[in-house]
Amino acid sequence: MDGKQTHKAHRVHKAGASAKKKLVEKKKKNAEKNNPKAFAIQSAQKAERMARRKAELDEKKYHVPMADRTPTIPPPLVVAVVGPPQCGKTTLIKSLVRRYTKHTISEIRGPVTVVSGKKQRLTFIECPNDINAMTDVAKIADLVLLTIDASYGFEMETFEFLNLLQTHGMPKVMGVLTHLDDFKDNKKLKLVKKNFKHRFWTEVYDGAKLFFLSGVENGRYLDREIMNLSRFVSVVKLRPLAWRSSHPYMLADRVQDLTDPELLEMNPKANRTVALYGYLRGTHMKGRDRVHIPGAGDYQLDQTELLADPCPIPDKERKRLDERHKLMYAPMSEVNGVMYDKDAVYIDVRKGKHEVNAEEGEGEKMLSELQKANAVSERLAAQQFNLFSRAKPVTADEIVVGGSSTRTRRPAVFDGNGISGDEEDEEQDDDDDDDSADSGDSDGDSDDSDGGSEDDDVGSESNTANNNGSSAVDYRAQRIAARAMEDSDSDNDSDDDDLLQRVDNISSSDEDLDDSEADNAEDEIVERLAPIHLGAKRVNLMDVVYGDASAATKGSSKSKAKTSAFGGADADDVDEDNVKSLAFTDDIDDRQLYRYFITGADRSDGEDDEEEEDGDEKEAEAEETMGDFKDLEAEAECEEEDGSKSGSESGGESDPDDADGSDDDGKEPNRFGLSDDKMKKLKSKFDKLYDSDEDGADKKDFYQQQKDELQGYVDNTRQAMEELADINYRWSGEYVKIVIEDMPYEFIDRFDPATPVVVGGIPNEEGLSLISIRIKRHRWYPRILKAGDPIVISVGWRRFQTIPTYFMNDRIKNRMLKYTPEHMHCSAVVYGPFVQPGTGFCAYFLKRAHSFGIAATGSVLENTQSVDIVKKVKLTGFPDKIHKNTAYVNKMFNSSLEVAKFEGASIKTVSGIRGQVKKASGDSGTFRATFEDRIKMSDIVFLRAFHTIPIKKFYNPITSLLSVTAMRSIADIRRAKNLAVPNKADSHYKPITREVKRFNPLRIPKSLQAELPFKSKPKVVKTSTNAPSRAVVMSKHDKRVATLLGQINLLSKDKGKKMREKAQKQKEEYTKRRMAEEAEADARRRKKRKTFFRIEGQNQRGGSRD
Amino acid sequence: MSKRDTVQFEGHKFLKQRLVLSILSQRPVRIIKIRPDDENPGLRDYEITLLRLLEKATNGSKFEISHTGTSVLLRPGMITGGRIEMECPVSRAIGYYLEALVALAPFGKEQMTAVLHGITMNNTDLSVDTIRTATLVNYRNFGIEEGVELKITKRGAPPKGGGEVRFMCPVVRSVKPLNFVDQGKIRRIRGIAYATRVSPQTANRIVEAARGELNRFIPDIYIYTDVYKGAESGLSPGFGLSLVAESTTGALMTAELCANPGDAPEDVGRDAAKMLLNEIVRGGCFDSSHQWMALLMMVLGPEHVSRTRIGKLTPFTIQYLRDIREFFNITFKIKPDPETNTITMTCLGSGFTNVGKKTT
Repeated sequence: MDGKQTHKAHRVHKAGASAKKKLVEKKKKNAEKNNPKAFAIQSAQKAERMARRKAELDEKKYHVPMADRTPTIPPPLVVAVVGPPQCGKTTLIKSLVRRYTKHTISEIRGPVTVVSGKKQRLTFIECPNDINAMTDVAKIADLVLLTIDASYGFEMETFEFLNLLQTHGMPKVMGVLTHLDDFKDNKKLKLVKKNFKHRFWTEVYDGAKLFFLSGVENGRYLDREIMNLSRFVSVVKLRPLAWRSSHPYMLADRVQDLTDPELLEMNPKANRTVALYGYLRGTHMKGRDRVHIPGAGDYQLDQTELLADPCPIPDKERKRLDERHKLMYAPMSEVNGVMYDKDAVYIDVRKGKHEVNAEEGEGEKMLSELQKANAVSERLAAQQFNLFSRAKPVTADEIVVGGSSTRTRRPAVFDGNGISGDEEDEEQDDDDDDDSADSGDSDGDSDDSDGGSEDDDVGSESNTANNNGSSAVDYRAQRIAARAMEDSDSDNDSDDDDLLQRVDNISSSDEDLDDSEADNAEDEIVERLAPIHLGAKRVNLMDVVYGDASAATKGSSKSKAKTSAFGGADADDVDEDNVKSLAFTDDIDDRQLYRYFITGADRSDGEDDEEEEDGDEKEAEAEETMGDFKDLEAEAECEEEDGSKSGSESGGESDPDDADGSDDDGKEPNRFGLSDDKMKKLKSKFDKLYDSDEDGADKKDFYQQQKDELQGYVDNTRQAMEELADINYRWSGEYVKIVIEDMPYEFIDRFDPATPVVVGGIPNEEGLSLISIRIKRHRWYPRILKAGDPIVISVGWRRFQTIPTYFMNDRIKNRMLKYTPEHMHCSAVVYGPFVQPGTGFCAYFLKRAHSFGIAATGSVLENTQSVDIVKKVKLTGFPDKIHKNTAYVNKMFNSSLEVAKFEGASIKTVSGIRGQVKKASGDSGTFRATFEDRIKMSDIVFLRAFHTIPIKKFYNPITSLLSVTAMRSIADIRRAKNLAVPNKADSHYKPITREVKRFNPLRIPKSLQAELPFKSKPKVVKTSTNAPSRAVVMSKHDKRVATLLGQINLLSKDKGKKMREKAQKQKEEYTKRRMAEEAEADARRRKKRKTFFRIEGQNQRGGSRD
Repeated sequence: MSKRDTVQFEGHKFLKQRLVLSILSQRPVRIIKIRPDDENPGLRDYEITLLRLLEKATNGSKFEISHTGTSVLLRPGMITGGRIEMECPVSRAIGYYLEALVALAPFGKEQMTAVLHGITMNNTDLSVDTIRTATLVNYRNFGIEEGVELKITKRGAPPKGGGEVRFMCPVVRSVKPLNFVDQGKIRRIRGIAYATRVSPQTANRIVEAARGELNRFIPDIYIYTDVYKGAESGLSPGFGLSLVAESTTGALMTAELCANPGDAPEDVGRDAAKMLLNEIVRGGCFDSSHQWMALLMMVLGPEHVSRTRIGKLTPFTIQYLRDIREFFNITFKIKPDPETNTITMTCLGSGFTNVGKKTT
């Protein structure tokens, strides 16, 4: 066959089912086009409604723009696996880890980080079933896998967690249904899946992903299903959450105790120095930040250190993830018995049982001896050395430097100027800490134990190696010291002494180099060396400003900062703290000045500028002569700018000349004799500045503008990261180690890797204040909340116990509430640290009393220092004496002072007579009051007032990682102490029995009656009688008519009577007849029935017989 | 749990900024050794007035002044704003107190309306004119624009004062990050020549002299003469000039001079103009008397980078930077630009938000 290959053409069906279907589809598709009338607007109202609906839907998509601070290399996503116990969380993590890394971890302790893709890493955490841990996880999780045991159904923990999520910023949530293999019936399984899905959707959102894991194989879920899940995990899209994108935070994946073992030996409950490792998320951190560790409290970071990423994303762009890049980092889980550290890899070589009791060799013995923390100090204490020649040898214990016990290792070796400053001491201590901590960590790492080796050289080298901070400078210092030792006349024979001195020298950093040296010769060397490492650099402004930190911060007058071209005189030279200075110099070069004005700018665009500087006097003069001519143009331009700018500025003063100036240009283009080119250029410049605004504004709507602005800020910050590199910032996405001192020992003692440790930054959120919140009891919580009960509130990073005061504003005042409303929001005030208004919170009781734990949710309204919450108070008093409308009331107040406070207050009696407090009479609290009417002695007088209640300032951070001490509610205390609820007889509700009062009729004496005016006289009201109201005299005709009518009436009455009687008789007859008939019929029926049943009975009997 | 430690300072210098920073950062501050060796040790009357003013502007602040008055402890409360009225002693001008309010007012609970009585201008503090025409205008760089107002109802010259100003400032949730490095070229000069209880001609003479000095550089100069009469002119005679140069990018350079007894109006005008030229040569986007404001607002910005250019660092600013670091733990990146003899200041904002402001 040559030429083109031909195929049989496709024949389109013109008849039959498929052709019909296509036709219908085609019609549908083009219906609007083919039949526009049918789709025309039929009703304007309907169209308007539809348009509105669409607009509303569109509007719903908008969110308040938020800066997306995700760094270019983002930190691993935190994937939290949450669910009640026994529903397959661990299995799920294991399966996913296996899917990503082909590793099986036996036990999951703490976060597990894996590289899941070319640009993505995941950190899996398993959430323990504890409300505190759940709260913390809800605050940091980027993606939540909610595992649900399908064989059991939804459990409350799931809903509690969802509520926690909602209040702390909703991350992505995916559901995972497990234990589906328990369903044998396929139909039922389907139904269950459907039900779960819909219930899950109502809780999260319609269409939320729910995965079904149908079984376990080899201790993992089925590979196919896990792969499916992992694909959805890898494409998950995250929206920035407000709280997290404005705070730095870290999920610690490794915790280490750096405390000096020596210290611990002395006091095992001493505060610890703890290092926490993890990826930094959210915003940046800087050294010595204040942080909050939920469950442990507020701390100051001692140091923040950048470490190499232990689980890096492959740096090279590759098509697919290489097998060797599929890393896993789970330092607390001990993957394959390997643990990573900053500078070492620890391999856990497990000893066999037979080896445990084996005899240790000499080397091993020595190593284990070295591991003991107090080895150095003990040995040093035991050693003796001479301070001075021919002096009594002293032991290290006898030497007291600062009185502190930890300083025993730093005897003042040198006489004379050898005593070093305090700072040095501290540094020494720090170094010691590090060293000994290291030696404690690295079991058997012989290089680390500094004091252990007797040999000088080895010891010194190991020291320098250990001391991270010491650089070449230290080395030099050491040599200097060594030389100084040779020169000095002190006969130091002892090796230990030598060693101690060296320790001293090494610890001294380069700044205090000159302080710590001993001799003159030494000083000389130091002086010669000093400029090499100190002064050789150009004067750095940062040093000028921040250089001498100690002097600057204390505000004392010892700042050594030097003045430079950019900094004026030093801060301490000023006499008073006024911003203004009146100093000025007269000798500024005019030419130099011109550069700062637009008049000068126009003349020299860039190049000319330099020319002007280089040029000689003549040129300058020439230019000045030209200046007069050119100024005109410049003026015009400046005015032109003025005019348009001042229109847009509200604050600027408007120049009266402006309006004229701006118009002139357009009309007379060549007024200044400019070439057309120049004019065109100017025109385009003008257009760009002012005209293009309208087009640009149309293109970008407000929303887009805001978004762009925010993005601009983020981009700027990204660009500035390098610039700010020398200021110790730690950026999001970096793997950092943070060190915290003064951590209570319980943190380490009770440390459980399963409980997440979160470190959250708290910029400006530390001051305590009253926080006004809007709160609503959770609709699933079975009780309403009672005032005075301590409640745990989780807001921001914090969880704290506090006593809310509930109230409601009635548009005039804040009225206190004893209980929260049942289905409504109310306000409350709690005492706690500042929280950004608008932040959501969630409240629960420490002691779970009900199946659903979350007691209330709400949001923060305001931080304030005082809130006026009132409750109603009614004071009662009794009249003592009554004179007309005045009464003396007692028993309301106890002293005249109290009365004075209420002078002018309005009072009221029970009967409703209103009055006013006038003045105290006597000192017993009796007061004179006037009323609008005379009151009775039996009346009770009320004073209604409002009493401002004091707000209980109780703030108790829940230290769940340490040990929890919490306030109990009164009910709890009563229960615990078996106390009865106080029972006031007065407070009981009893049925009210009111006597019916009988009043005697009012009798008015006749004499008085006579005197009364008619209006007030009691009237005799006659009761009506049968007697005709008036006599009627009838005429003859009337009489006849009346008689006739009477007769007719009589007749009709009689007729009616007869008819009624007849009807009665007929009815009786009929009833009689009916009854007879009935009886007859009844008898007949009975007979018939009888016959039927008889026959039936016979039949049955006959049947049975058959 | 480690407690937040008190920041401690020595000496009476920079008292105001430390108190202000303490309130903004919510960190307690203790200032000791306030003029211990002075004949009259302890706080001066204007410092006590400042403490009173701060107490009025805040809620929950606790000031503890020692027996001798040589040490002050401030436990800051929250800024409230609202109506404040204050009689300021004549030892310092109103500008001294206004500077503190300018830093605090935008972060209060409600709009601040402060009425201050005292001296409106002298040669140690910023005059109210400069604050009105430059300081408050500088607010707009940080997103505070509408509702800022300073009304000079009465002028009061030293020594007796008798002036009155009304300062109004809205509250904001947070300020905008600043990115202002282009100082531009000076495009116009505005000014106010004021005179109280002297011949109205004085103001014209000042203007004449100042124009004579400045006209060489730019023609767009407009100096208002502001002569107060009668009850509005305070208790003492006085006159002076406040100048503001505005650049094409909106940078404001200020200079001002107030006459001392016996000064000729011409001298005042000329010297003020020369001071303005000096200020212009210093360069930067904020002049030397507003460096502190720019830096403070940059620190109070959100966690984005803020950048600006300023001229030579004044000693005041250097101390301000140190104090900022002490209170906010924020270090500025200070990069000199040898070409223009200016300095670029870069910092990351502290993420400060006005927690006192209510949500709606």
